[in-house]
Amino acid sequence: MKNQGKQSITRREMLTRLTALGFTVPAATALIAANGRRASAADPIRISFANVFEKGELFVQLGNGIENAAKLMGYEFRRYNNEFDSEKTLANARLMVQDRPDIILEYNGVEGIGQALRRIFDDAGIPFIAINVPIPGGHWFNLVNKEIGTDTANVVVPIANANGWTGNDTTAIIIQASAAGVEVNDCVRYFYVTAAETMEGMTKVKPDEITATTTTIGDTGIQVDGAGALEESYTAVKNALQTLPADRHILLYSVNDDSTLGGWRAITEAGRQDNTIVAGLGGSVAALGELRNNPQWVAEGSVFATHWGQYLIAMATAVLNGVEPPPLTKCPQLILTPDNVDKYYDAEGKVQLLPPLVPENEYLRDTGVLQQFNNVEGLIG
Amino acid sequence: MRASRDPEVTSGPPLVEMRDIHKSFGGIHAVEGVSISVMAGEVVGIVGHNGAGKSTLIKILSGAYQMDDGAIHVNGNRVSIGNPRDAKRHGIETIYQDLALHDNLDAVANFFIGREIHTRYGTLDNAAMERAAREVINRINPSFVSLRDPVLSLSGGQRQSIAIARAVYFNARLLIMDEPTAALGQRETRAFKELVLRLKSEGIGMLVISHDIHDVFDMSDRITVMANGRQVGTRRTADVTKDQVLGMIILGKLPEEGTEEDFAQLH
Amino acid sequence: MSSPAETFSGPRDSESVKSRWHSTRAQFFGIGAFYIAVVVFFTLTSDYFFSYSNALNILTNVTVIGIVALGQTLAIVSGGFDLSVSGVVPLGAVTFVIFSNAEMATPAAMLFAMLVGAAVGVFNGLIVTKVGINPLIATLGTLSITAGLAYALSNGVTIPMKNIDAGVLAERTWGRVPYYVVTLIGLSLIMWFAMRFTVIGRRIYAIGGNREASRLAGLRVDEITIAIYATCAGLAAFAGVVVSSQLLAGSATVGADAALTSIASVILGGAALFGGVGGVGGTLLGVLVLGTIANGMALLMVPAFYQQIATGVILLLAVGFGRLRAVISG
Ligand SMILES: Nc1ncnc2c1ncn2[C@@H]1O[C@H](COP(=O)(O)OP(=O)(O)OP(=O)(O)O)[C@@H](O)[C@H]1O
Ligand SMILES: [Mg+2]
Repeated sequence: MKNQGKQSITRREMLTRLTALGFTVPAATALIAANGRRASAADPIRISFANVFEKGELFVQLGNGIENAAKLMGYEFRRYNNEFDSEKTLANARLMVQDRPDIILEYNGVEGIGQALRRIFDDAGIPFIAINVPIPGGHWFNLVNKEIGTDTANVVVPIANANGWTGNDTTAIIIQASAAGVEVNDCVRYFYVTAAETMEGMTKVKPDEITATTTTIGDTGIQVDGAGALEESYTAVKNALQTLPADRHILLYSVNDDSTLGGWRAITEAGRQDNTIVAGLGGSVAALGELRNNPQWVAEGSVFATHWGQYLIAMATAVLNGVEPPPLTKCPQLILTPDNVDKYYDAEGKVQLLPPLVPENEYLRDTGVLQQFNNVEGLIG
Repeated sequence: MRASRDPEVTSGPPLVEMRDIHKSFGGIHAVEGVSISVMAGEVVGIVGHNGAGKSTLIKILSGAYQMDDGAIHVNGNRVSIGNPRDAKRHGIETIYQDLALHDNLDAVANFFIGREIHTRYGTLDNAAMERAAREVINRINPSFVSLRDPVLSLSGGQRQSIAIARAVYFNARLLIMDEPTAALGQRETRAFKELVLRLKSEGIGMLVISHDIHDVFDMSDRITVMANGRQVGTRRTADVTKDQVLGMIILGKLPEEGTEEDFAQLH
Repeated sequence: MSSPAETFSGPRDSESVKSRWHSTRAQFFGIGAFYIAVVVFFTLTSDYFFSYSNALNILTNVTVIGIVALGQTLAIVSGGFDLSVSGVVPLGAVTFVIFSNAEMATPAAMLFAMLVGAAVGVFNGLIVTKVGINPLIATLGTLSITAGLAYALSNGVTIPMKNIDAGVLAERTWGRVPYYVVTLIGLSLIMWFAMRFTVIGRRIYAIGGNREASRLAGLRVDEITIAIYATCAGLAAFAGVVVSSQLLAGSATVGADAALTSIASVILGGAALFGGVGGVGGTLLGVLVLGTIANGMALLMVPAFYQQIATGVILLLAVGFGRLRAVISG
């Protein structure tokens, strides 16, 4: 996620930045179903939160999720808008420390100003949690694209192997979003790397051999650039298909649901759907529909962005309780399959259950915050 | 009131009459209380320094500008001219000082723009337009050949010929000509003057702006002199000398108002 | 405009001026030759380029921008610009899918989307003519408004088309040629005819050549201008319908490049930036050149970054070369 601190951002830039989160498509409109008990405290904890941007459904939902979780816990909460702008972000940081909250949640879209933010927060002696984009010296909460890509390949490839596909007759088409930077594209890189390790006859490469300018990987990989968008991905895959024999098998994966949907459309238009296995990333309503109804769509990564709020508030509580979190606290993330999708999402695409905590995140359990929401697998009681 | 004081060639209502016209651009009073009339078959010359307001005055009549105050009568009836289409509807055609040509179009297209000859399906009848345009343009400028080239590539005289020809072609009752001979050679100017005479005999009224005092004397029945947006006066051409008109232009006074010294300065 | 005071009878620098005009025709043929060179180049360098299936692929890839560029040709020839197409394409795409999903009959949903586009165009035309705002600025404003509207209407998410039959333009084919390609060809023929052989076509060139002279000649300059912007935006909205038919989904992210690519195509095809010169044939050639180069580079597996750079260089070269010829021969 890069930004030169421009005053205004274009639609395309905003899109790129949405992509940079690893999910362009907001999962659902569901906000937290608050049926937990209200926590009471004599001296309420005070939390300030600066959102990266208050336009776009995704960011607003993310912000609302944090705000609702804080209020549910009876915390005092203040919310700021960084407007994807470096100066605004720094100004907000100064405003926030003036208020002397107990802890700051900073969603900064401009990676380059991390040091400046750190100085402001450290000078004031206020602990802080960086969301999505790391800030040196702070705690960090984020999705891990690398794991999502690896886990998705581990769902997709066994199915292809069971079909008897091998590298001799199969090509993986991965759709990157080159402008979004390396971390975001980790999902497609590690998807390919893992697929090559687990499918016979695929050209094996090291992760760092796949870069933004990589287009072919031996005879078994094609990387195209879909800019994180539907139309661009459609056209890019359409062109790529020209270079593949009609009977070749295809594994299709991309950085987000729009890209996968666009690529999938190109594949069906070419009449190649029966030779293709596809996986999405984002948990959008459209993609969940495909996962449920389209036999070729076998996996869908989700990071449950609308529900980050409860994890962040749990994390903040832990930090205030003196717990030292791991360098990166992972957001809930899961590869959905046709078998488990109904467990986590209802028919409208709303989240009804969150995946169990990973071992590194067990420290969140001890705060008791997640239990208030009664929606995390293994913490329902 | 002023117009009635001016001498007229014939009786009956004038073909076109402008009364007490005012027009300013921001703070500039380009035309201030000018009145002018043209009878059928009469040529009225308008002379004056650069910036005197001549073009502004006639552009009000041709619908290019809206006047701030005043009245326009055609055949004795008050009319309102809100745009160039209104003027054309009243039979008023104009040759603009800048010619108002479309550089990217050829002579034929320029000739007929806005009044294209078309089939009943709305498609252009290029052959008919070329025939008509060629005939009229060649009458004015026999050496004119390149009807099918964009007029950007034509000489100033040829461009002027197009502007004259198209104003004449559409059965005008009043022709306004702003510097019609400025770019013409001697031969074309002579042909133009003959054209004016012929149009006159057909009962067409004309308003001619020119910087060439000889041309004005050759063509006009009456001459209106303007200075600084005002009307210095209007005289029958037969009643004044060229020197007197020059005096009016330069001094901004009528011959009878000027002192001996004033006129002495002129020489 | 030269005033007669500065010009005299007899030929002035008519030779150079003439060649400047002819250079646009020369540029048309120049681009044609360039296109052939492009085709030959990719045929030699890629095994996948020269085939019926890839030709069809190129055609389907350029249809959306082709439809937008037809409207853009009108705007540019008449002396304007329409940047708002980048917002109207997604707006048309999103409204079409929303209305189609609300069970509106497909032709009605298409018509409705185009009417929404045309309404935006009327608004463009009104602020350009009646308020007198420069077209670039005016349509930049409506670009932002319409793009935002498309986002608001779709909540920023991709809306799948419920009724697959609504994608008729892409789903039905003529042989192997999708309906939307046939539609582009039909629209092009109509516009080519209108611009070359009809009164209104002639007047559009006149307005682009000299707006004030057109007014003085009695043309309804404002009304024609408004109609041009309405047509341009209506076509852009229709392009949005086509994208939605291709993708079987509506998204506010489509068409972001429509303004730049369509303007580039029109100029590449020999139109003058300041109006009065240009045409459907040149525009389509420009669209094809850009689309073919993009396709060829994709087949050659050129990384996207370099594709972008190469496209810009080629555009500058092609347009610059045309201008250079004019300068040299003048
Ligand atoms: N469109 C306009 N906007 C502002 N001022 C104008 C405009 N047209 C004319 N003027 C001003 O009005 C005054 C009269 O100009 P006009 O063109 O009528 O003079 P003219 O007598 O035709 O001069 P010339 O002999 O140079 O053609 C000038 O001061 C001119 O600057
Ligand atoms: Mg003048």
